[in-house]
Amino acid sequence: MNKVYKSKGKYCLEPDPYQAARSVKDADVEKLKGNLSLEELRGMITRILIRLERLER
Amino acid sequence: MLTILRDSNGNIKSYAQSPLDDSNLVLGEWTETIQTTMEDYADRFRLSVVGVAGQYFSCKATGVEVIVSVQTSLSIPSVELDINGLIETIDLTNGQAYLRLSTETPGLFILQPADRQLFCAAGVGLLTVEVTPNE
Repeated sequence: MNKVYKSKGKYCLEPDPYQAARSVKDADVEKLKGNLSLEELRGMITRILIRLERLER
Repeated sequence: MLTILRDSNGNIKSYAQSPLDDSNLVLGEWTETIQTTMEDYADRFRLSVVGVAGQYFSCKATGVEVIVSVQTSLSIPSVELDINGLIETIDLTNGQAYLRLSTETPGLFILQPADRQLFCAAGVGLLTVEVTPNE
C-alpha cells in the first residue's frame, strides 16, 4: 500500500516503486533496440527485479 | 433492531438487521443489539465521492483531484480518519467535511475511521480510491 503524505492541503500518494517501474516498461523495451550504457542497463535490471519481486508475492 | 458484532477489543466488525444467532463467535467476539435501522446506523459514518458512498472509486492519474465527503450523524466536532495508516483529525462543519486527494501518482487510497470502537470500517464507512496509470 502506498504511503500517504499531506501537501498544500491535499493528500498525496508516495510513488510505489513497482508502479514507477511498470510505467516505463514500454520505454524499456524500446531502449533494448539500441546500445545501452552501463547506467541504463543497471536501471533496467533494477526495474525488472522490482517487478519480479512483486510477481513472486 | 440492529445487531452489532464486535471483536475482543470492542472494535465494530460488522452490523446486521438479523440477531446473528447463527453466527459463530470466535476469539472473544461479542454482539450487542440496539434499536435503530441499518440506514440510520450507516449514517453514523459515511465516506463518499461524487455522492456515491462506500467501497470503491477509480480514476486515472490525470492530476484532477478527487473530493471525498466525510459525514457523520453524531454531534461531534471532528472525526479521526485513517488514510493508508496516516491518522488525521478532520474538523467537521454540521457533521460534514471534505478532503482533497491528489491523483498525480498511481496507487491506492484506503480511507476508514480510525476509531473502530465508535465507527464501523465497512459498507459506507470504508472507501477505496484507486488512481490508475494514465496509459
